[in-house]
Amino acid sequence: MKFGIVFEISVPRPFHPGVEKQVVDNCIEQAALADQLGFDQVWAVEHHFLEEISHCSAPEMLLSAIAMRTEQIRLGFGIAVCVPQFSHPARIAERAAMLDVLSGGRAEIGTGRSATWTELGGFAADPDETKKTWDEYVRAIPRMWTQPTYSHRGRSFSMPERAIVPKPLQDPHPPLWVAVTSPGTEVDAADRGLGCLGLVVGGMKRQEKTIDTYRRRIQLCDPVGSFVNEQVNTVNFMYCHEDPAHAMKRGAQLSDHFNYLAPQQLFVKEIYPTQSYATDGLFSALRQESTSSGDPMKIPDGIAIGDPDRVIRSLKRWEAIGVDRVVFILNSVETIPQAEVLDSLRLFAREVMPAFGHRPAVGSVSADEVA
Amino acid sequence: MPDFGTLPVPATEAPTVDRFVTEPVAITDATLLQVICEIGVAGQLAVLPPALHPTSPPIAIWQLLEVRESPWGAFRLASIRVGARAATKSRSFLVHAFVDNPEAGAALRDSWGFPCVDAEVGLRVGHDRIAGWADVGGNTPFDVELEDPAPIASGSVYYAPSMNLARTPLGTRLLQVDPEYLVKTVARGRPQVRHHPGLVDDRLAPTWPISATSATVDITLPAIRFVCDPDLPAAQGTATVVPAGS
Repeated sequence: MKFGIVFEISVPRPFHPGVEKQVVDNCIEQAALADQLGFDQVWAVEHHFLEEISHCSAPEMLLSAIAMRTEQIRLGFGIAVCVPQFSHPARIAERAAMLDVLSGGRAEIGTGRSATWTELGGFAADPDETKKTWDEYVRAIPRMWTQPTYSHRGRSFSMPERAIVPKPLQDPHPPLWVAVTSPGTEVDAADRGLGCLGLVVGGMKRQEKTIDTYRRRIQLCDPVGSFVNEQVNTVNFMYCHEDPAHAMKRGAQLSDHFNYLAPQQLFVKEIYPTQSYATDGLFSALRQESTSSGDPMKIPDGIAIGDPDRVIRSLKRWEAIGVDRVVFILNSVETIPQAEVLDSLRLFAREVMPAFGHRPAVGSVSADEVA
Repeated sequence: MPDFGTLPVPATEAPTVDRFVTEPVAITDATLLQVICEIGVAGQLAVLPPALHPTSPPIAIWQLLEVRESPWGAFRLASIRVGARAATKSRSFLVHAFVDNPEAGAALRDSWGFPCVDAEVGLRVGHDRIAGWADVGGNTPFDVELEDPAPIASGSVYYAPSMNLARTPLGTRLLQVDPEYLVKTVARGRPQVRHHPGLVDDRLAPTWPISATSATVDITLPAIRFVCDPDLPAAQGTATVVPAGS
């Protein structure tokens, strides 16, 4: 199992000058430490207009900054919203390729279609169309990367023949993923040879069935890219501390803040009746999972919050049902002091990663040595 | 922490509810036209009480309900709500209500806190459009239309529970009015709202259309189970008034 982190860039009110810079600086510091500690990936989401919960509207720029501070960690651009009113597919291909070049071939690209009216309405996008535009985009982008020139006449975009440059450094191109937050999207992922990104669909039992469907179905896929990216990447909260009571207290703060802020947005299904949006977005199933005990002081078993032994047990459950990667939300509106977030990462690397076959990274033996 | 509403509750008129209704009331085969539009951010904050968060973006919901049979006879109810959150729960805050049957208006006012104003309320269902309006003494506060209705799956429409401000034995409270809806058929089309300043709160003027639906529904008006202090965040100010399951 591989581990990573995911940034929403969650910014606390009041939005005084400098607060966004502080949060972004903290993210970059967390990513730099994660790289040193042997974490495998850092993802940055694309969201627009989502005050407090996510000020991450230009993820590839954040990842470019992280690329300059890191050496090994892979850089997940996504999800990139595959809706014409947000971005032309050539712009996604260009920005992803530039990130790949800048990072020396470490880019991974997640695709999706947004789930909030806050975002889709803000760009005057049609919620009924986004599944169709996503499909057209994921078939186009790999060819934009691999063909000397590209032209297209389609439903959501058309363009005459052009050279789309730069080309990615990775050969043939970066791995492609799709955000799987609605039941059934795992089938879309499998049929197109895409990795399942941020997979949190229902509880653990439902998840196991979803992964099984994905694994079986992808064997018969017609890949949209030049290779099949058969991987399951789930998302989780993470706070690790030697003192279980402190870990639970801080971890509950993290999940409570995230779970409080996310539903303040207007989800499409709430105000625009369409079968295209059956569930909420913003990791809705993770929010359900993390509040499933009904007791705010009890963290459910599948959530990676606690002392190292508890976190290992949580993650072993995910590993047992076939999850390849887990990316962690580390903070929300800076509710956990940055020093504690960094300590949590160090402790995770020192005590948890070895239980999954990772060798401790140089410097992860003690917090002081890495600091 | 998200913003809270800033409505000065003590200065706001509200119906009096002397006792919390304990028996649900079932209504069958009603027609419910719902139009949703975005409104201005500042207006939404000013209209919502401090218990509630605004949605992002701010929305208002115009509803026309036509009931053919009820304990109070046939009636039509026109209402305007503002989108909100009670802590993390999806809610709407009822701002205006117009009803064409005084007996129904009294029941809705006295039991569920609808601030009903007597009015002519119209609903015209056509194949090309479905139109609804309220008329108070020859003045039309608003009229709404759904253009080009097309059937959609009945499970895809959502009606946000309402928070209705009322003077109660517990003091001024928001009553949680969360009817059960059994949606039998529903059509969706292009929304249109004409808002007439001065006759309804100008801060509810629509700024961007979102959706319009017309549905045939069975509605169960609920017993009042939860009330909320309008001046406290809903997470702290909500209380149970009838034990669950009773």
